[in-house]
Amino acid sequence: MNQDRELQIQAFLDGELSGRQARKVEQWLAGDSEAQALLRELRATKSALGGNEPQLTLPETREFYWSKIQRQIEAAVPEHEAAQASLWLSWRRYLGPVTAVAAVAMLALFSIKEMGFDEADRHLAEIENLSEHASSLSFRSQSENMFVVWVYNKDQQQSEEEADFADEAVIQ
Amino acid sequence: MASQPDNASTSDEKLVRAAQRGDMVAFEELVARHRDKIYARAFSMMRNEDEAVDLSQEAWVKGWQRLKQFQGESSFVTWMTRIVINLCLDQLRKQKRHRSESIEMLEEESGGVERQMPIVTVNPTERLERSELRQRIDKALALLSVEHRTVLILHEFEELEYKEIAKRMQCSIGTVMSRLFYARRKMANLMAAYKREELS
Repeated sequence: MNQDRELQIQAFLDGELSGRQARKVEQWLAGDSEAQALLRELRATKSALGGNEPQLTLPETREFYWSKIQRQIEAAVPEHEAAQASLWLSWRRYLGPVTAVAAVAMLALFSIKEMGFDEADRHLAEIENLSEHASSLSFRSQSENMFVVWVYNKDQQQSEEEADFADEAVIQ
Repeated sequence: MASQPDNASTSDEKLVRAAQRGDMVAFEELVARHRDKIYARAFSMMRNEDEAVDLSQEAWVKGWQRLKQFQGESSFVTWMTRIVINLCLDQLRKQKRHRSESIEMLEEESGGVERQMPIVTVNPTERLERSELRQRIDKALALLSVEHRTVLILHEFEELEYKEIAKRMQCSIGTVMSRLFYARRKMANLMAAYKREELS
Protein backbone atom coordinates (compact mmCIF):
# COMPACT_ATOMS: atom_id res chain seq x y z
CA MET A 1 0.00 0.00 0.00
CA ASN A 2 1.56 3.31 -1.00
CA GLN A 3 1.55 6.51 1.05
CA ASP A 4 -1.11 8.11 -1.10
CA ARG A 5 -3.55 5.31 -0.28
CA GLU A 6 -2.66 5.49 3.41
CA LEU A 7 -3.41 9.20 3.48
CA GLN A 8 -6.68 8.60 1.65
CA ILE A 9 -7.70 6.11 4.33
CA GLN A 10 -6.96 8.75 6.96
CA ALA A 11 -8.87 11.43 5.04
CA PHE A 12 -11.78 9.01 4.71
CA LEU A 13 -11.75 8.47 8.49
CA ASP A 14 -11.65 12.24 9.12
CA GLY A 15 -14.51 13.00 6.74
CA GLU A 16 -12.26 15.11 4.53
CA LEU A 17 -13.19 13.36 1.26
CA SER A 18 -15.99 14.28 -1.11
CA GLY A 19 -18.88 11.84 -1.40
CA ARG A 20 -17.51 10.41 -4.65
CA GLN A 21 -13.98 10.03 -3.27
CA ALA A 22 -15.29 8.41 -0.08
CA ARG A 23 -17.29 5.83 -2.06
CA LYS A 24 -14.20 5.01 -4.11
CA VAL A 25 -12.17 4.43 -0.93
CA GLU A 26 -14.90 2.27 0.56
CA GLN A 27 -14.85 0.08 -2.54
CA TRP A 28 -11.16 -0.74 -2.44
CA LEU A 29 -11.21 -0.98 1.38
CA ALA A 30 -13.74 -3.80 1.05
CA GLY A 31 -11.19 -5.92 -0.80
CA ASP A 32 -8.00 -4.96 1.07
CA SER A 33 -7.45 -6.52 4.50
CA GLU A 34 -4.25 -4.58 5.15
CA ALA A 35 -6.04 -1.30 4.47
CA GLN A 36 -8.86 -2.36 6.78
CA ALA A 37 -6.37 -3.10 9.57
CA LEU A 38 -4.79 0.33 9.12
CA LEU A 39 -8.20 1.99 9.24
CA ARG A 40 -9.01 0.14 12.47
CA GLU A 41 -5.79 1.30 14.05
CA LEU A 42 -6.32 4.91 12.99
CA ARG A 43 -9.91 4.80 14.21
CA ALA A 44 -8.90 3.39 17.61
CA THR A 45 -6.25 6.10 18.05
CA LYS A 46 -8.67 8.83 17.05
CA SER A 47 -11.26 7.47 19.45
CA ALA A 48 -8.74 7.21 22.31
CA LEU A 49 -7.56 10.79 21.84
CA GLY A 50 -10.96 12.40 21.40
CA GLY A 51 -12.11 13.97 24.63
CA ASN A 52 -9.06 12.72 26.50
CA GLU A 53 -6.78 15.67 26.32
CA PRO A 54 -4.49 15.55 29.35
CA GLN A 55 -5.93 17.58 32.21
CA LEU A 56 -3.45 19.68 34.09
CA THR A 57 -3.66 22.06 37.00
CA LEU A 58 -2.04 25.43 36.67
CA PRO A 59 0.82 25.52 39.16
CA GLU A 60 -0.05 28.92 40.67
CA THR A 61 -2.65 30.05 43.14
CA ARG A 62 -5.74 31.80 41.86
CA GLU A 63 -4.79 35.13 43.48
CA PHE A 64 -1.18 35.16 42.31
CA TYR A 65 -2.06 34.19 38.74
CA TRP A 66 -4.81 36.82 38.56
CA SER A 67 -2.64 39.53 40.10
CA LYS A 68 -0.14 39.17 37.24
CA ILE A 69 -2.88 39.28 34.60
CA GLN A 70 -4.50 42.28 36.22
CA ARG A 71 -1.19 44.16 36.29
CA GLN A 72 -0.61 43.46 32.61
CA ILE A 73 -4.14 44.53 31.70
CA GLU A 74 -3.77 47.80 33.59
CA ALA A 75 -0.34 48.48 32.12
CA ALA A 76 -1.22 47.55 28.53
CA VAL A 77 -2.21 50.12 25.97
CA PRO A 78 -5.46 49.02 24.31
CA GLU A 79 -4.67 47.28 21.01
CA HIS A 80 -6.43 49.78 18.76
CA GLU A 81 -4.53 52.66 20.40
CA ALA A 82 -1.24 50.79 20.01
CA ALA A 83 -1.98 50.24 16.32
CA GLN A 84 -2.77 53.92 15.83
CA ALA A 85 0.40 54.99 17.66
CA SER A 86 2.47 52.63 15.54
CA LEU A 87 0.89 54.04 12.37
CA TRP A 88 1.60 57.60 13.50
CA LEU A 89 5.23 56.77 14.34
CA SER A 90 5.78 55.17 10.95
CA TRP A 91 4.32 58.19 9.16
CA ARG A 92 6.25 60.66 11.31
CA ARG A 93 9.50 59.30 9.91
CA TYR A 94 8.51 60.61 6.50
CA LEU A 95 6.92 63.82 7.70
CA GLY A 96 10.21 65.69 8.03
CA PRO A 97 11.55 64.89 4.57
CA VAL A 98 8.16 65.49 2.98
CA THR A 99 8.01 68.87 4.72
CA ALA A 100 11.51 69.63 3.48
CA VAL A 101 10.64 68.73 -0.07
CA ALA A 102 7.50 70.86 0.10
CA ALA A 103 9.50 73.81 1.49
CA VAL A 104 12.15 73.46 -1.19
CA ALA A 105 9.52 73.24 -3.88
CA MET A 106 7.93 76.45 -2.59
CA LEU A 107 11.32 78.17 -2.53
CA ALA A 108 12.04 76.97 -6.03
CA LEU A 109 8.76 78.30 -7.33
CA PHE A 110 9.43 81.61 -5.61
CA SER A 111 12.97 81.90 -6.94
CA ILE A 112 11.92 80.98 -10.47
CA LYS A 113 9.24 83.61 -10.34
CA GLU A 114 11.45 86.32 -8.79
CA MET A 115 14.72 85.64 -10.54
CA GLY A 116 13.33 84.90 -13.96
CA PHE A 117 14.69 82.63 -16.69
CA ASP A 118 17.60 84.88 -17.56
CA GLU A 119 19.63 83.73 -14.55
CA ALA A 120 22.17 81.15 -15.69
CA ASP A 121 23.74 80.52 -12.30
CA ARG A 122 23.19 77.31 -10.43
CA HIS A 123 21.38 77.81 -7.19
CA LEU A 124 22.39 75.65 -4.27
CA ALA A 125 20.41 75.71 -1.04
CA GLU A 126 20.22 73.64 2.12
CA ILE A 127 16.84 73.76 3.76
CA GLU A 128 16.58 73.26 7.51
CA ASN A 129 13.88 70.75 8.31
CA LEU A 130 12.21 69.47 11.42
CA SER A 131 13.41 65.89 11.12
CA GLU A 132 16.53 64.95 13.03
CA HIS A 133 17.05 61.98 10.71
CA ALA A 134 16.70 63.53 7.27
CA SER A 135 18.09 66.44 5.43
CA SER A 136 17.84 67.75 1.90
CA LEU A 137 19.81 69.52 -0.73
CA SER A 138 18.47 71.16 -3.81
CA PHE A 139 19.81 72.80 -6.89
CA ARG A 140 18.35 74.48 -9.89
CA SER A 141 20.01 74.60 -13.22
CA GLN A 142 18.68 77.20 -15.59
CA SER A 143 20.91 76.09 -18.41
CA GLU A 144 19.66 72.53 -18.14
CA ASN A 145 16.17 73.66 -17.19
CA MET A 146 16.19 71.31 -14.24
CA PHE A 147 15.39 71.46 -10.53
CA VAL A 148 16.57 68.62 -8.28
CA VAL A 149 15.88 67.95 -4.61
CA TRP A 150 18.01 65.38 -2.81
CA VAL A 151 16.54 64.05 0.46
CA TYR A 152 18.94 61.85 2.39
CA ASN A 153 18.99 59.90 5.63
CA LYS A 154 21.49 61.61 7.95
CA ASP A 155 21.92 58.50 10.13
CA GLN A 156 22.76 56.30 7.16
CA GLN A 157 25.20 58.82 5.75
CA GLN A 158 26.90 59.16 9.13
CA SER A 159 27.30 55.41 9.54
CA GLU A 160 28.66 55.11 5.99
CA GLU A 161 31.21 57.83 6.75
CA GLU A 162 32.17 56.01 9.96
CA ALA A 163 32.47 52.75 8.06
CA ASP A 164 34.69 54.41 5.46
CA PHE A 165 36.86 55.72 8.31
CA ALA A 166 37.00 52.27 9.89
CA ASP A 167 37.95 50.69 6.56
CA GLU A 168 40.73 53.18 6.16
CA ALA A 169 41.90 52.46 9.72
CA VAL A 170 41.98 48.72 8.95
CA ILE A 171 43.89 49.27 5.69
CA GLN A 172 46.43 51.40 7.55
CA MET B 1 -26.70 47.88 50.87
CA ALA B 2 -26.92 45.74 47.74
CA SER B 3 -25.11 42.40 48.01
CA GLN B 4 -22.27 41.47 45.67
CA PRO B 5 -23.46 39.18 42.89
CA ASP B 6 -22.44 35.56 43.44
CA ASN B 7 -20.21 35.13 40.40
CA ALA B 8 -19.41 31.52 41.19
CA SER B 9 -22.93 30.45 40.22
CA THR B 10 -23.29 32.85 37.27
CA SER B 11 -23.18 31.46 33.76
CA ASP B 12 -20.25 32.17 31.46
CA GLU B 13 -22.52 34.16 29.14
CA LYS B 14 -23.58 36.54 31.89
CA LEU B 15 -20.02 36.91 33.13
CA VAL B 16 -18.82 37.67 29.61
CA ARG B 17 -21.49 40.33 29.15
CA ALA B 18 -20.53 41.92 32.45
CA ALA B 19 -16.86 41.80 31.56
CA GLN B 20 -17.60 43.39 28.20
CA ARG B 21 -19.05 46.31 30.13
CA GLY B 22 -15.76 46.61 32.01
CA ASP B 23 -16.48 44.43 35.05
CA MET B 24 -13.07 43.04 35.92
CA VAL B 25 -14.43 41.02 38.82
CA ALA B 26 -16.58 39.09 36.34
CA PHE B 27 -13.55 38.57 34.12
CA GLU B 28 -11.52 37.32 37.07
CA GLU B 29 -14.19 34.68 37.68
CA LEU B 30 -13.92 33.57 34.06
CA VAL B 31 -10.15 33.31 34.44
CA ALA B 32 -10.53 31.26 37.62
CA ARG B 33 -12.99 28.91 35.92
CA HIS B 34 -11.04 28.22 32.77
CA ARG B 35 -7.42 28.86 33.67
CA ASP B 36 -6.56 25.16 33.96
CA LYS B 37 -7.94 24.35 30.54
CA ILE B 38 -6.12 27.24 28.86
CA TYR B 39 -2.92 26.37 30.69
CA ALA B 40 -3.28 22.68 29.77
CA ARG B 41 -3.63 23.54 26.09
CA ALA B 42 -0.55 25.77 26.23
CA PHE B 43 1.41 23.08 28.06
CA SER B 44 0.37 20.37 25.57
CA MET B 45 1.82 22.47 22.80
CA MET B 46 4.88 23.95 24.48
CA ARG B 47 5.80 21.10 26.89
CA ASN B 48 7.34 23.68 29.18
CA GLU B 49 5.64 24.79 32.39
CA ASP B 50 7.02 28.34 32.55
CA GLU B 51 6.29 29.05 28.90
CA ALA B 52 2.80 27.62 29.25
CA VAL B 53 2.08 29.84 32.27
CA ASP B 54 3.39 32.94 30.50
CA LEU B 55 1.51 32.24 27.28
CA SER B 56 -1.71 31.46 29.10
CA GLN B 57 -1.44 34.78 30.97
CA GLU B 58 -0.78 36.60 27.73
CA ALA B 59 -3.85 34.92 26.29
CA TRP B 60 -6.01 36.20 29.14
CA VAL B 61 -4.70 39.74 28.69
CA LYS B 62 -5.49 39.57 24.97
CA GLY B 63 -8.86 38.07 25.79
CA TRP B 64 -9.68 41.08 27.95
CA GLN B 65 -8.52 43.51 25.26
CA ARG B 66 -10.56 41.79 22.55
CA LEU B 67 -13.60 40.94 24.63
CA LYS B 68 -15.87 43.29 22.74
CA GLN B 69 -15.14 41.28 19.58
CA PHE B 70 -16.51 38.10 21.15
CA GLN B 71 -19.97 37.61 19.72
CA GLY B 72 -20.87 34.27 21.28
CA GLU B 73 -20.60 32.23 18.05
CA SER B 74 -18.57 29.70 20.02
CA SER B 75 -18.29 29.17 23.73
CA PHE B 76 -16.08 31.60 25.63
CA VAL B 77 -13.57 28.88 26.53
CA THR B 78 -13.32 27.79 22.87
CA TRP B 79 -12.65 31.39 21.91
CA MET B 80 -9.98 31.71 24.59
CA THR B 81 -8.44 28.40 23.53
CA ARG B 82 -8.02 29.71 20.00
CA ILE B 83 -6.22 32.77 21.36
CA VAL B 84 -3.75 30.71 23.36
CA ILE B 85 -3.18 28.34 20.44
CA ASN B 86 -2.28 31.25 18.17
CA LEU B 87 0.14 32.59 20.77
CA CYS B 88 1.72 29.16 21.10
CA LEU B 89 2.04 28.81 17.33
CA ASP B 90 3.73 32.23 17.12
CA GLN B 91 6.12 31.24 19.88
CA LEU B 92 6.88 27.88 18.25
CA ARG B 93 7.63 29.61 14.95
CA LYS B 94 10.10 31.92 16.70
CA GLN B 95 11.71 28.95 18.41
CA LYS B 96 11.91 26.97 15.18
CA ARG B 97 14.27 29.59 13.76
CA HIS B 98 16.72 28.74 16.55
CA ARG B 99 16.02 25.05 16.87
CA SER B 100 18.28 22.53 15.18
CA GLU B 101 16.51 19.67 13.49
CA SER B 102 17.20 16.25 14.94
CA ILE B 103 17.87 13.40 12.56
CA GLU B 104 14.76 11.63 13.84
CA MET B 105 12.62 14.65 13.07
CA LEU B 106 14.09 14.95 9.60
CA GLU B 107 13.31 11.30 8.98
CA GLU B 108 9.78 11.86 10.22
CA GLU B 109 9.37 14.90 8.02
CA SER B 110 10.66 13.15 4.92
CA GLY B 111 8.06 10.46 5.40
CA GLY B 112 8.29 6.71 5.25
CA VAL B 113 9.35 6.08 8.85
CA GLU B 114 5.77 5.51 9.91
CA ARG B 115 5.47 2.77 7.33
CA GLN B 116 8.06 0.74 9.22
CA MET B 117 5.87 0.76 12.31
CA PRO B 118 3.77 -2.38 12.56
CA ILE B 119 0.01 -1.97 12.51
CA VAL B 120 -1.37 -2.17 16.03
CA THR B 121 -4.12 -4.77 15.98
CA VAL B 122 -5.11 -4.92 19.63
CA ASN B 123 -6.65 -1.77 21.09
CA PRO B 124 -4.06 -0.67 23.68
CA THR B 125 -6.45 1.65 25.48
CA GLU B 126 -9.12 -0.91 26.25
CA ARG B 127 -10.15 -1.19 29.91
CA LEU B 128 -8.05 1.77 30.92
CA GLU B 129 -9.41 4.21 33.46
CA ARG B 130 -9.88 7.61 31.94
CA SER B 131 -7.28 9.26 34.16
CA GLU B 132 -4.75 6.58 33.29
CA LEU B 133 -5.51 6.93 29.59
CA ARG B 134 -4.95 10.68 29.82
CA GLN B 135 -1.64 10.13 31.58
CA ARG B 136 -0.46 7.76 28.86
CA ILE B 137 -1.58 10.16 26.16
CA ASP B 138 0.37 12.94 27.86
CA LYS B 139 3.45 10.74 28.15
CA ALA B 140 3.24 9.80 24.46
CA LEU B 141 2.62 13.38 23.32
CA ALA B 142 5.87 14.44 24.96
CA LEU B 143 7.74 12.06 22.67
CA LEU B 144 6.44 13.55 19.43
CA SER B 145 8.25 16.31 17.61
CA VAL B 146 6.82 19.82 17.90
CA GLU B 147 5.26 19.72 14.43
CA HIS B 148 3.64 16.32 14.89
CA ARG B 149 2.35 17.13 18.34
CA THR B 150 0.92 20.45 17.16
CA VAL B 151 -0.98 18.96 14.24
CA LEU B 152 -2.35 16.19 16.46
CA ILE B 153 -3.54 18.68 19.09
CA LEU B 154 -5.16 20.93 16.52
CA HIS B 155 -6.96 18.03 14.86
CA GLU B 156 -7.86 15.72 17.72
CA PHE B 157 -8.41 18.18 20.58
CA GLU B 158 -9.27 21.38 18.78
CA GLU B 159 -11.18 19.51 16.03
CA LEU B 160 -9.95 21.72 13.24
CA GLU B 161 -10.16 20.60 9.60
CA TYR B 162 -7.04 19.99 7.53
CA LYS B 163 -7.45 23.27 5.69
CA GLU B 164 -7.68 25.31 8.89
CA ILE B 165 -4.68 23.53 10.40
CA ALA B 166 -2.64 24.19 7.24
CA LYS B 167 -3.53 27.88 7.47
CA ARG B 168 -2.55 28.15 11.12
CA MET B 169 0.65 26.16 10.75
CA GLN B 170 1.51 27.92 7.49
CA CYS B 171 2.09 24.71 5.59
CA SER B 172 0.34 22.74 2.85
CA ILE B 173 -2.63 20.46 3.41
CA GLY B 174 -0.45 17.56 2.21
CA THR B 175 2.05 18.31 4.96
CA VAL B 176 -0.75 18.39 7.54
CA MET B 177 -2.00 15.02 6.34
CA SER B 178 1.38 13.32 6.43
CA ARG B 179 2.26 14.80 9.82
CA LEU B 180 -1.08 13.77 11.26
CA PHE B 181 -0.68 10.28 9.86
CA TYR B 182 2.78 9.91 11.36
CA ALA B 183 1.63 11.31 14.70
CA ARG B 184 -1.30 8.93 14.95
CA ARG B 185 0.76 5.90 14.02
CA LYS B 186 3.44 6.88 16.51
CA MET B 187 0.83 7.36 19.25
CA ALA B 188 -0.70 3.96 18.51
CA ASN B 189 2.68 2.26 18.75
CA LEU B 190 3.63 4.11 21.92
CA MET B 191 0.34 3.21 23.59
CA ALA B 192 0.84 -0.41 22.56
CA ALA B 193 4.34 -0.33 24.08
CA TYR B 194 2.96 1.03 27.39
CA LYS B 195 0.39 -1.76 27.39
CA ARG B 196 3.12 -4.38 26.88
CA GLU B 197 5.14 -2.87 29.75
CA GLU B 198 2.10 -3.07 31.98
CA LEU B 199 1.49 -6.72 31.15
CA SER B 200 5.11 -7.84 31.47
